[in-house]
Amino acid sequence: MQETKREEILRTALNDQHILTCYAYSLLQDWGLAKDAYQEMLITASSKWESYKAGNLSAWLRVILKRKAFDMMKSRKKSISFADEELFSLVDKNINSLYEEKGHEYHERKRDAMKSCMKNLRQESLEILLAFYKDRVSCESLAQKLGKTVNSIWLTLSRSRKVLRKCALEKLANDELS
Amino acid sequence: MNNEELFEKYVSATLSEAECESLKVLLRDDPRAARDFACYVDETALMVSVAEESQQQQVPEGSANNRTRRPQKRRESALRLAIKVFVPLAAMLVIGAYVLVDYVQNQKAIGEVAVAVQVERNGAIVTLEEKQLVYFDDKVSSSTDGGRLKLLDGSTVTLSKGATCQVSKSTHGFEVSLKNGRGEFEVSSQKNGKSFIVMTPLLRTTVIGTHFTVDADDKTSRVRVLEGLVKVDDLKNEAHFVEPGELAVIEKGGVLSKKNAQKAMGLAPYLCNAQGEDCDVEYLESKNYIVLLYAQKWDPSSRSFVLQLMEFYKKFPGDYEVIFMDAEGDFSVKYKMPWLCVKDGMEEEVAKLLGPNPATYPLNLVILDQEGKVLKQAAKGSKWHGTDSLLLNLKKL
Repeated sequence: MQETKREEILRTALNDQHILTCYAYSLLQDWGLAKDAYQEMLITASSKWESYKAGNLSAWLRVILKRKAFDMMKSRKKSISFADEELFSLVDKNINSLYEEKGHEYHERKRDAMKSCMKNLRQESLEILLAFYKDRVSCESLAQKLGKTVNSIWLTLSRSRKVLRKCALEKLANDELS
Repeated sequence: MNNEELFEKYVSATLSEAECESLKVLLRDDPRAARDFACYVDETALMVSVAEESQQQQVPEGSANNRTRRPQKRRESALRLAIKVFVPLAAMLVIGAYVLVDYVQNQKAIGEVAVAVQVERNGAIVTLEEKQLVYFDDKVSSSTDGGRLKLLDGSTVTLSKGATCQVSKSTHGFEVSLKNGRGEFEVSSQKNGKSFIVMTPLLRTTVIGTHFTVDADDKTSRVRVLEGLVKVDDLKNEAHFVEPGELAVIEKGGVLSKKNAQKAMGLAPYLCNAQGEDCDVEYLESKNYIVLLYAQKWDPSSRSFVLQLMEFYKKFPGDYEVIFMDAEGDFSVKYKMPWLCVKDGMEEEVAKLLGPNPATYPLNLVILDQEGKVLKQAAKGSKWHGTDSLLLNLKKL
């Protein structure tokens, strides 16, 4: 019975990997750190599973993840938003209420929609998005690498975001209708 | 600055102190803006997650070309292009071909040798000694005494005798493909979202910072964790988290399963063969039942039962292993017992793990499961139940 409970926790953590990593990214603004925090959370959830009593398992996992992210924030105060604990709590509160309101299923559908929309993006735009948001390459460095102006990199980023957002929302609306 | 610009500064971690204060005010006092912020940040996270996945799908994981792709260059200025062509050419002339080849090989390096190994490189077999570099396309085999690699991230891979593997490196971390034999892995903490993966023909082990062993051949793969936690999957749907003391096993055509290896492996340091020599005892972890044999050479019924058990053991091998619990004297040597025996002087340590002989008789046989729970015993206290029913039970295992 207890083994089943532990398995259930780990399975939920595994199934919710995307949403949990996204949550950690929201707090840490760094994809690599977000993935590290998720892994640390897995280890803690695996060893402290007995402290989970009942209720919203995803929320319990997010609490562990928040603590891990907070520890990382404390140890790597590399930017203003990293150093600010009040901002960290405010962001956590707002992201949590969004997840509670929309739920895991909506997040997964949005992810699927985004995935499908991503196929319409040009390869270059995709690479700029990844380099900027995931690898933290500055617009200046990207501009230099690609032989473009900083402004055109900004434009590409904001245009790609707009296209993706519009396309994903349309897809979600169509899905709901059908 | 409008709200969206402020959100963008947050996700790109470039907020100034004043902007940070403005954002806090917004999140505290304006519920609508706070909700927009949450959506914006979540959307960014989703975008990164999906973009990363798309990029991984475009370039197969573990392939040599799996590096961050260079953005297109066709718009680069002619001058920039000329410099880029000229600089490597000039470097080649100045430094010479030898250095260039060395450089290229260093780029291919995945680590260095810690204990000599053999590698198949460009169709030839060469022996690499300590400190020599190993490349990602090398097929590495252990030498006669095993071998060890130290990878660039500080992780070590120890190969037992007869084991072969191939290591590849990508932007996502290291992937070790263990073809056959046993590999022991001590994996350094994986940072920046990188992972360390061990593939066998039947399963994949994803490391979450740990020390573990993997055994593989065409028919079976086994993962045993010594420290930390790993995720093991069968390359299809079945996945398990494996912790210290646990063992994940899959046989060809079978289902990936997890069992407790702790009790059996706890005995490993105290066991030897009938001649008192060290031997491979790790196969014990895959046996579901352990049979403890208590017998004395001076006792005629013990002697005749040992002979009976030896015949039975040969005729009905199964999911069990016998351990002879009396290390004193030459009983095991004289009778050439084919099973494991407790090392001389280690009886107390073993009794601490499993308990002493539960009977007052010189002869006893006890069947345990992997958890150490007694399932059947020939005698308990002064009561004798006989060995025949136990042998019948063993026959069914």
